[in-house]
Amino acid sequence: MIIDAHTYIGESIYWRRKFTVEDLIERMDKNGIDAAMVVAPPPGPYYDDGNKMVFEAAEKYPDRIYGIYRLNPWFREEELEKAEKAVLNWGFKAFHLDPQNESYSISSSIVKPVIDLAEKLDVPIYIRSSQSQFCPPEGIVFLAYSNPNVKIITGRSTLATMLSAFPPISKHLRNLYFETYPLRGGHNGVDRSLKLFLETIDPSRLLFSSHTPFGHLELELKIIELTGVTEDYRRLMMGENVRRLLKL
Amino acid sequence: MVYIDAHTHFGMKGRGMPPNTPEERIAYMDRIGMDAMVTSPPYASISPDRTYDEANAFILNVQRKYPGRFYALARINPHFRRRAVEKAEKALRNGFWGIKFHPRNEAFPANSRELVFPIVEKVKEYGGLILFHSGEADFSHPTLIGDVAENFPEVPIIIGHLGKIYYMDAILIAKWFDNVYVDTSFCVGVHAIEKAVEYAGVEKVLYASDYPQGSVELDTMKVKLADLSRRDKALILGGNVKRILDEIEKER
Repeated sequence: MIIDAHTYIGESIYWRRKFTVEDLIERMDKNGIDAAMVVAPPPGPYYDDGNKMVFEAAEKYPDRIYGIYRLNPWFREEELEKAEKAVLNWGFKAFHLDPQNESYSISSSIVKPVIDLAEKLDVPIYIRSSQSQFCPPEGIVFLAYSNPNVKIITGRSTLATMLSAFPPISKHLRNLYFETYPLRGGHNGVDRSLKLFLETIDPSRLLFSSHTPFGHLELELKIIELTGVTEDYRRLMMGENVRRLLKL
Repeated sequence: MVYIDAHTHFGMKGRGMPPNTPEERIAYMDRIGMDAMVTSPPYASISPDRTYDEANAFILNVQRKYPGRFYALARINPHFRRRAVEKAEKALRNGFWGIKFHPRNEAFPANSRELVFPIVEKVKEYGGLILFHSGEADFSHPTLIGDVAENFPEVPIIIGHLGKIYYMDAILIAKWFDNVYVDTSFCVGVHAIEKAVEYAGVEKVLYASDYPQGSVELDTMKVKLADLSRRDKALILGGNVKRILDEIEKER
């Protein structure tokens, strides 16, 4: 079973047109993807409509679409209540934080209650990392280290940074997960970070993701093909890891 | 539709990744329907004396043997100062289509008045283009290349790799300076190509792969996946670089 661990549906100023769940399903079918984790796109600050669309998509396609609840911790208690209901009543499988888009530091006090809630509900948190001072890779490392019972998926561009700057941390922080997007496809199309991570760090903590429609499934899959990932690694990365992590 | 790769490398056997003969490379190009490659020596072909003399001679012979299939750019290490300028002049006289600079590998700021400008002066004099490696925060940042473009508005300048993570910088430089283009090799993704077309205009975007280091298949796929018209894709995949090369030929 192939699962894309990070996709979007909805409306965004960053897209030319609305991207519906049917658009997503069409792309999944075209590329042999069985299921996808879906989140509402930026920008915020309000995600109620976006989360509702994700919820409806998961209701409509229960075996193919799984929701990630996007929350804005600036709304504090009110948002935390919604987030709890999202998991307990509406079937969302994970939380999503984007410090850069919502303008807060990952070390801010508004984040801690979200971390505590994730621990209580035993759901992973996807955190978008970047070179922004709000959420650099080292901020994610510190968060994972300080909260060993919370599973954290670090997103976007972090794989190569973690490998070059923090290889022992990447290996030994067992609650820290990584997504593949965006694969770079270096010499001859081989993504060195992907290969290194699988072979030297931990193949059980890498999740295939495309960020469709920001990213392109065809391209990410082609780079994996050119990289020459073994069947065992492929099976883990392309579905088994995320299935285990999210208890699908 | 013309299909030309605007940024490739070509080294002789043992001095660069295969294929190392023009025949092997042409067989590959014919197989995938590629008309031509703009090509220059790879870093691996630098000699112990830190020049590219042997590599440049090899690539010029390739171009002479297969005109129209290979457009050779001479690789110059500008640290040789006066000798580097002489080498550039000789290369342009001998039929090279321009100069490839690699500010990171040869360690010089792209906008160095002392090292780079005298060579660009020669390109201006003889006609040709400049291809800059780009994508790092220091020597090869797109802004420095913009400085060269501003000082030499007659010389077509290509920012390699679409500036990698500095793609918005590269795109804005291409938008602000009429003589600046971006190539798509190793660019960060399809969205960078779409942004380049949106901001700088489709005529400023050149498909490239950095073959054989990079993958022609992957970088061609990036252009094909972009949310652009068929006409725009055709321009990017070869029409634009062909126009630049034709203009250079006309002016020479």
